[in-house]
Parts: sequence; structure tokens; C-alpha cells
Amino acid sequence: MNYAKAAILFFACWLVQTTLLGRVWPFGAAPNLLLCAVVCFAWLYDAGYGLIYGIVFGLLLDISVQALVGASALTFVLCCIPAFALRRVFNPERALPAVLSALIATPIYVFGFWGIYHLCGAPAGILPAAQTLPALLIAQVLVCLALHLLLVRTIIKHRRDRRYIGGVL
Amino acid sequence: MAIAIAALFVLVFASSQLSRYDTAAGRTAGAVIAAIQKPFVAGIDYLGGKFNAAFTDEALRAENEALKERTARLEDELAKNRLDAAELEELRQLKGALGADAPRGEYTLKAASILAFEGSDIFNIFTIDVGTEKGALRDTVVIAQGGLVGRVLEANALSSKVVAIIDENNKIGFQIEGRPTELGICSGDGNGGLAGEMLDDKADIHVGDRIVTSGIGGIYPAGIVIGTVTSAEFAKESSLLHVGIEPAVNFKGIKKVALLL
Repeated sequence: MNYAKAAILFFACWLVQTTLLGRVWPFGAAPNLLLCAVVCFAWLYDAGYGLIYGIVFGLLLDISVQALVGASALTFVLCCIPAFALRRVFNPERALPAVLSALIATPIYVFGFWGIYHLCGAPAGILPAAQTLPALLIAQVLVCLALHLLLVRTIIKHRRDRRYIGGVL
Repeated sequence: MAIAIAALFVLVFASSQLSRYDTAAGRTAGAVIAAIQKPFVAGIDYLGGKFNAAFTDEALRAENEALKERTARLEDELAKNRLDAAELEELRQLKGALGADAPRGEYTLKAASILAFEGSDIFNIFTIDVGTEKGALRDTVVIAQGGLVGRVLEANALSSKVVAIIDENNKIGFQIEGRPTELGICSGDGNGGLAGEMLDDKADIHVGDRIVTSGIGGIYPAGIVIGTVTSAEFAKESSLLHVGIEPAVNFKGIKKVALLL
């Protein structure tokens, strides 16, 4: 996927995230689509996608609906780290490590976000942040898995062609 | 990556320090973003309206809306009638004694639509489509059908960020409706509700009592409905009387609000 297409996808995630998702999501904590996109792009592509778009659209998210500018961008950058680390060990085509990076990134996002606000003087307790975690984990994993299965096709279009399934070569 | 993290840390710190100031860059960026979001939200509302109309009988919906408005109006009248002149005078004296600002004059209402949600469920901030051009300022009070919604955190020309009363960072002085001497302070409990403490540990408060703003603190004028008491008990190892409050406004389904200008 080229940078322009990725930017359109991130933009769509931001728009839906800020205007629509909070209204229609019926199961508690709504997934953070931008975080899912950041994790999936960091997992599937090189650092440029997840990191740069994470910063750009994190800042956009902060300016549009957050009290502190830079908090989302910073947590998105931190959320890229597990994906980058897992990429060194596992094949990026595989879905399970992608889900694992989403599982690790979600608590980093929740507690990182809370920590940044706490450092800046917001009195919000850690318990409410922790209480949102289980529902958010499920939502994030499902969205990340769907996004991974969608994006992996754009990288390797005919993955099954490489497998020998018997017969004369 | 280390440089990016360091730069973003500096930005967050600068933002936390500058948040009390109204910067031109912040106003411009906010206005541009609001201009992008506005047509999208209008489109969603339009499609949502069409969808609802297809599945709901129009006449029934109009009757329901009219009944809701009538109920809200009657509830407001009831609240006003409960505060007699002596109680109001007592409240004014109390506010004076506590050094609060003098009661404000009459307000005009400015309707606004919600443009964007923060959506993290950790903080409760949303953006509305009324900005400084239409009179919104920092700390302008926002209400909705049913009661208090919150206050404006920052405003640009086209939009404003509103921090909801269910945000843990937003403290509100309250009183029991009809009993202006029973005062307390509440904020979000982190689960979409409100929690607070009474200033007097012998306060006469019961489950089902309605909570209204006390006017103390100078931001929220007195008498706006906040919610209903769901619990009132002493916490372990504490002499403070803790109160659980269910907000009067349904924050999940909120679409339209009004600003007190």
C-alpha cells in the first residue's frame, strides 16, 4: 500500500473514530480505530507507516477531541514498539502475532494515556482506566484482526501460491 | 523513535502549560478540523434521521418528542417552585459567605450539535459546533434536555471542546434540591456516573433525592439539575459522607446540547 492510500485509510479511521463510533458502538468501550491502524501498519509495513501516521493522526485526534495536544500521538508511538519487536521474530503475514501486538499495545495505550494526563496534573484515578481495559482489549483485538486480514492481502496478493500442496512440480 | 518520543513529551508538557491560554495556532487548527467534521456529521445525522423515519411512525415520534419537552418543562417549573424566596435568600447569603461570585443574570440559550467524541472512555470530552463566533467562551455552561452536561474547556471560532460532568477532572458544587444548606462536591466516578462528598457529614440526604448545582465556585449557576442520588454512605476509614449520583443526562445518546450565554 502506498503512502497516499494509507493516509486515506488513517483519515477515514480518524473521521469515523471521532464522529460516529462513540454514538453507535453498543458494547462498552469503543475500539480506537486509529490505534488499530497504527498497530496493524507497524506490524505489516516498515516503521514509516505506523510511526509517522501514528504521530500525524494522533496529533489530529488530540487537536480535535483531547485536552492535551500530543498525548495520543505519544501513546501511539509507544504502541508501535511491541509490533516492531515481534516483527523481528515472527513472519508479518501471520495473524496471531498481529493479535498479540494488539493485545500488548492496548494496555500500553490505556495506561500510557492515563499516565501522561496524570503527569500533567489530571486527578483521574487509574482504576476507571483499568476497568475499561477488558472490553477495550476484546474490541481492539477483533478490529485489529479484521484490519490485518484486510491489509495482508495488499502486501502479498497470492499468498497460497507459494505452498506446495502435492502433485508433480 | 527516541527523538519522536522526546519531542512529543515536550509538546505534551507545553500543551499542559499553555492549555489555560488561548493560542492562535490552537484556535486555527480547531476551526479547520471542525470544518472537516461538520459536513460528515451532518450527513450522518441526515442518514440517521432517514433510517429512523423508515422504521418509526412519524406521528408517534412527534408526540413522543412533544411529551418529552413538556415533561422537562414541568420538571423545571417544579424545581423552581420548590425553592421558595427564603431559601433563595439563604443560598445567596451562603454563597456570599463562601466568597463565591455574585449570582449571574438571565441567560440566553444557544443550541449546538455534537461534532466529535473523545471516545476513550477514560476522559469525557466532546466537541460541539458552536464556537467563539456565536458566543462560546471558556467555562460557558452546557446543558441538555434533562440537566447539566458540562462546561466549555476551550473554544475556537467554529467549535468548542466541552468537558462533561462525568469526567473525573471536572468538580461541581451541588446541593440537594429544595434543601440549599445541604452542600457537597461531586465529579465523575469513572464509570459514566458521578460520585461526591457532602460538606456536612450529618447532611440529610436520601436515595432518590435530586441534586442541583449550588452555584458555588462561580462557573455553574445555581439550580441546574445534575442527577439523582443512588447511594449515600460513609466510606470505610473515612468520616466523609459519600454520595453516588446518576446523571440526569444520558451521555451515550446525547446529540444536541444548549449553551448558557
